Amino acid sequence: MPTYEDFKSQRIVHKYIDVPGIDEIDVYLQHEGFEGFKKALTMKPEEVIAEVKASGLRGRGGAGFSTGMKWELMQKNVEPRYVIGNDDEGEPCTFKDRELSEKLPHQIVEGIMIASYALGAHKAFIYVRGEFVKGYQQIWKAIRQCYEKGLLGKNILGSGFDLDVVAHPGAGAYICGEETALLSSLEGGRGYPKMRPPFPGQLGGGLYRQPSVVQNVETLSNLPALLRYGAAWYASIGVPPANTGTRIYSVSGHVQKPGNYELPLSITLGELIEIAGGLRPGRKLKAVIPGGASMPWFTEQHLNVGMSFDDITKAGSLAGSGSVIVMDDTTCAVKAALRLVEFYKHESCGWCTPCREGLDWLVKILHRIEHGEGKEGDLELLADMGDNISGKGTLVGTFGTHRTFCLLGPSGVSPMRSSMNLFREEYAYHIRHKKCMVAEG
Amino acid sequence: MDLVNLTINGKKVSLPRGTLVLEAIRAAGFDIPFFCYHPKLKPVGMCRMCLAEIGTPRLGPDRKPLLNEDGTPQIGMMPQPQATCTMTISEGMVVLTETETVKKIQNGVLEFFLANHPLDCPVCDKGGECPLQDLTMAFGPGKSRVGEVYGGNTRLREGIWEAKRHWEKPKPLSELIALDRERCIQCGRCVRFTQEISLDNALTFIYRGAQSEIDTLTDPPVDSKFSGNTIEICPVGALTSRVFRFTARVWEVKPTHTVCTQCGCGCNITINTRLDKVLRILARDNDRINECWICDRGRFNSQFINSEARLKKPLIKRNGKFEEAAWDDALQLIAKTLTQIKDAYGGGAIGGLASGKCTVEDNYAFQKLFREVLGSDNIDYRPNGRIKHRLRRVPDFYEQVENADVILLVGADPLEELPILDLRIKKCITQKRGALITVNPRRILLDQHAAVSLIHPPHAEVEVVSGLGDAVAKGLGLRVEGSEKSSTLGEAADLIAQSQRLVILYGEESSDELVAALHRLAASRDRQEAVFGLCRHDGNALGALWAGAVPQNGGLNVDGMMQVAASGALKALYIMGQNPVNSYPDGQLAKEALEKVEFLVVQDLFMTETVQRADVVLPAASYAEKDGTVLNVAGVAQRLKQALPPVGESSEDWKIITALAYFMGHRWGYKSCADILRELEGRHVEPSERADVLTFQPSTSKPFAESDAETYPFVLLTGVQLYDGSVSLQHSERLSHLVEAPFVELNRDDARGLGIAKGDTVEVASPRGTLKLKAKVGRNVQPGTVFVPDRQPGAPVNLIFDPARTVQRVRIAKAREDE
Repeated sequence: MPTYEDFKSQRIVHKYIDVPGIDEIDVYLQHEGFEGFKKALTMKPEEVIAEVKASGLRGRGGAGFSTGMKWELMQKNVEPRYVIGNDDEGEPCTFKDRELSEKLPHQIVEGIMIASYALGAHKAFIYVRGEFVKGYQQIWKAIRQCYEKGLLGKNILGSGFDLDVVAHPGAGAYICGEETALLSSLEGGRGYPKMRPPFPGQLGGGLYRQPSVVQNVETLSNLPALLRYGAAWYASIGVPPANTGTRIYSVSGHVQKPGNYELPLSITLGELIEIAGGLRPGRKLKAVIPGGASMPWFTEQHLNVGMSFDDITKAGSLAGSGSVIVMDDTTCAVKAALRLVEFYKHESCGWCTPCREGLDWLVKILHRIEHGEGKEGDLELLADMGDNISGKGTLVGTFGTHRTFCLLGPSGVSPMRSSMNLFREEYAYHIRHKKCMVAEG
Repeated sequence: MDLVNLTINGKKVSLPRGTLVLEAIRAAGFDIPFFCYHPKLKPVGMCRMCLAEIGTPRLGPDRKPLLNEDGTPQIGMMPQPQATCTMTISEGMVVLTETETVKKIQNGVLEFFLANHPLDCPVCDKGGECPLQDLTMAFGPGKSRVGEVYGGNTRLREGIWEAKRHWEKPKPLSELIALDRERCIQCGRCVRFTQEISLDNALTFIYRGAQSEIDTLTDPPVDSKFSGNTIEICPVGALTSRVFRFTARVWEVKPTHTVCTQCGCGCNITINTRLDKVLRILARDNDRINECWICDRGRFNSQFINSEARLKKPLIKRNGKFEEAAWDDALQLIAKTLTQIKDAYGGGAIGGLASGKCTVEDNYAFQKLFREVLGSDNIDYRPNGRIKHRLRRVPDFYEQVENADVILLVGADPLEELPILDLRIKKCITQKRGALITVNPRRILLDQHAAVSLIHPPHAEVEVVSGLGDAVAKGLGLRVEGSEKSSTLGEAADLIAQSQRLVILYGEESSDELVAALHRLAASRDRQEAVFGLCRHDGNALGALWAGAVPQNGGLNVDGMMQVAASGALKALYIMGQNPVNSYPDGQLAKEALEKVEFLVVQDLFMTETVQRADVVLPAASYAEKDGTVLNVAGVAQRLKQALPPVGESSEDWKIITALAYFMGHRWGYKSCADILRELEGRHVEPSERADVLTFQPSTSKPFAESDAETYPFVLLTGVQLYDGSVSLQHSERLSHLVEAPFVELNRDDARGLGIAKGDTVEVASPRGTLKLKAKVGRNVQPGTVFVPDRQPGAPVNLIFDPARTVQRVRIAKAREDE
């Protein structure tokens, strides 16, 4: 059985996380700090982009889009342009960015410096989730220390490159982790998603309508090492060519050692659960959500699925934010679905109708089923209302095409659909017997 | 034009590039439901009602369309239905709006809306003209599947688990608008109106998701002069008019399509009446004038029409008291007296004030009475002689403003004077990327959207405009470095020099020198000629001018009549629809003049200060009660339609005058407005030629002596307010809260120096008199100047105004407590 000790040497982002005082710039500098940025300064910006593209690095925020490609697609020759670090981690059971913000803030800042240099941005923002009070303070501390060391500001290290970085706290809305809503919020408006096209990388679509790149802070944290050791080294880790590097998996739920584990993308689901301590003795695995609360559920038969972006997609779910929620056989499928849909209902921004009204009703119906008030026909009603939010023609697994403005609505439907597809008999039992099958067993 | 070919439900259409798919579907003759889309607002894709299946031609590796075996292009359908309001058409696009998928979506979205909508249509004002009602009938589900959450378990039915969201209803958003949050479908039209069109951000969403609601964060609530439009664009009964609420069902009212004459904009409106009572006024679409908006004054100021205080019978003053009289007696008395005066002193001893508030026909009849019957040329329609009049017809005036690249606004505040012009200027700035340059002695609200605001010392506008003209002529000034002042002037000159489509708007009391300077400025550019717009306030000022209600052969103008009357040489004065006691700049002279004339006839709606001084009073009809023609600020002629018969025995002005002429032996034989208009057009002389023939010049103004400047240290600025003390507002109770208590606005530094705080009562004194006003303190007025609006109720600034001075000066002091 694999343990985390076997993989610790392969860590990229968490390489120095256990070093005491690594959140101070002097310690960070002793541990290869800003070497990646200094390396980038010796290269032309296009070369940095080419390097990132060659590494096969994909966004760690949720969509898994190629970072190099995104940078290439950013509209050229328009000033000003912005780079934004997305630290608005709000998905239930995802907690990797929080740890990075609190323990390795300089690495995030270095990452955003590299990205800004490559993209020609002279102003960068780090949008930190409002609840991350410590993370916010740590990032500001890192920014201040960088200014003190001449790593930020005018003419950095004599290179002629100017950069200012600002950390900005969110105000508690999950939707602001969606990049266009994040931009609305950063601009000072309500956190509503914006229409695409124009995409954020294009003129008119980004921050203050200028071309912008929004990048998850874990992605940014990969950049220093990527630059230090080169694309070829990075591409050799994980499952080349399209799923390179490592990923921080936030494992939670019914495992014995929940937490963040940075592992190569070549790991399988079964191995990951074992590394996280395995299930409690005597318990059986019921379901796993492999990529954050909204992704289609896996079961025991998926334990051999690789945890890379493409393998998870092939198996019918999505890699998402890299959080893994493990549920054993003490879990009520209805209650789990209710809890998850409730989250999305609470976080719906209210912009479009199906999400605002539809999730509200899904929760009400799930709630009555869970509380023994379900009616005949509720399952059909749930399914049909789900279809009106997130179309029947599914994209992946239970994650449907959307009738909504952004993906929050379908995200809310997906857990309900997954659990209903997999555990329909539990729903039926709830309705028929007015109580839970699991609790009784 | 660049046309795009596409197929909608099998029908081939060609439409201009940039058309939204939703508009294309409608243009092709298909029905597509929507709530959040509005042609004048930016598309947002919120309601998800207009989704359709859309496909585009598949392209091969060579970027050429792939063809099917039969030669038709292969169509790749998008994986999911798209919101048609946020997508523009493209070549070869295929749109399907009648498929099962689309029907299911429409059904589903309507079900979501109705899940929380209260279905209280029987008591909802919107019922009968409600898009949600109509679209539910056309596209919605037959019945709801989500009506009730729980059966018998009452514990679970409480709080958020209730079947429907419940709110206290209605919640008053402002004095004029009530919000029913249960009915709201959160399409955001109202919020977006205040963010995109009126730019006052009077409404906003608060809270999130299913708990979102509309609210106002301004103080006073919904601080907008256009708030009523949100009621009209609300697709449900969430926003309702507190003036109209519960007065009638919409299918019971009689709509009359007419024109608003409360200012010079010429907005097209629909008056809804029932049993000869005006219930509400709606905007009527006219893209060349008001698009689909009107201001709150035009919309809500309707109660005065059916007010109990209206004059309903002719009145004759006997022994200092008014007595009701029959029309015949009153007209006979007027005819007899005017004939006597004419015989004794000649027609020149009779003066007439016509009105820019009356129709072309009224004014034509009035001047005809004077010229043909009384033999007098003493006619003027203006409230005072400083007002410029020039009739220049610019049929596409509002489009010119909208499409201008630079608008130069001098000495005017469109938000207060011509609100719909204000909206067009804002549209030019926000949607057409035009630049606004304002030249005013004080800051106005529009300045926050201006590219350059040149705030100048009082009465220095000519220097500023000349300076601008010089800079433009020299071709430099272009962004002068250095002092802030010169750089803003340089920036303005830069904009003007480069402008292709310059529009110059100037206030109606601009001096001749200013107008000349503006023309020089426009001529100094070697570009297309500028468009000039004179901001006349009165609803038919240009129509009165066109009808000839001005002296043409050496007669007296309004200033002349006032002065001659005060000297006792003018024996009779006939006033139609004016209130000089309140609105003539020199209020004391006006009072004196009216006291001195031997015989005063006034035609009006209400017992105004002027009417009180009359010998004979004739009750007139309001704009809602008559047919006629009016010319708006751009000289565009439009028709008034009678929405209800005149109240009581009141009558249209032209009818009164025609009858009077009859009593004096002249049979004009007019049966309708059309007869008058035909005659007017037959004899028509373009009035711009004769407009400047004004023989009487008031005595020349003398500047203030130095010593005066010490005693009266502040320069007094006046200006128009939308909600002023005009008599119609006084008789519309629902608007009374909008009319502010009489105030004076001071610079905060001056106020601090005088120990005056916001809200204090202060005395504003000139050599002519003293007014007690409430102090407003801020930075809108410059130090050393104070602003007092015209025609404030109970405290008309014309009482302390001295027209003999070029510069008005006042003294400010905090009023003593014991008073």
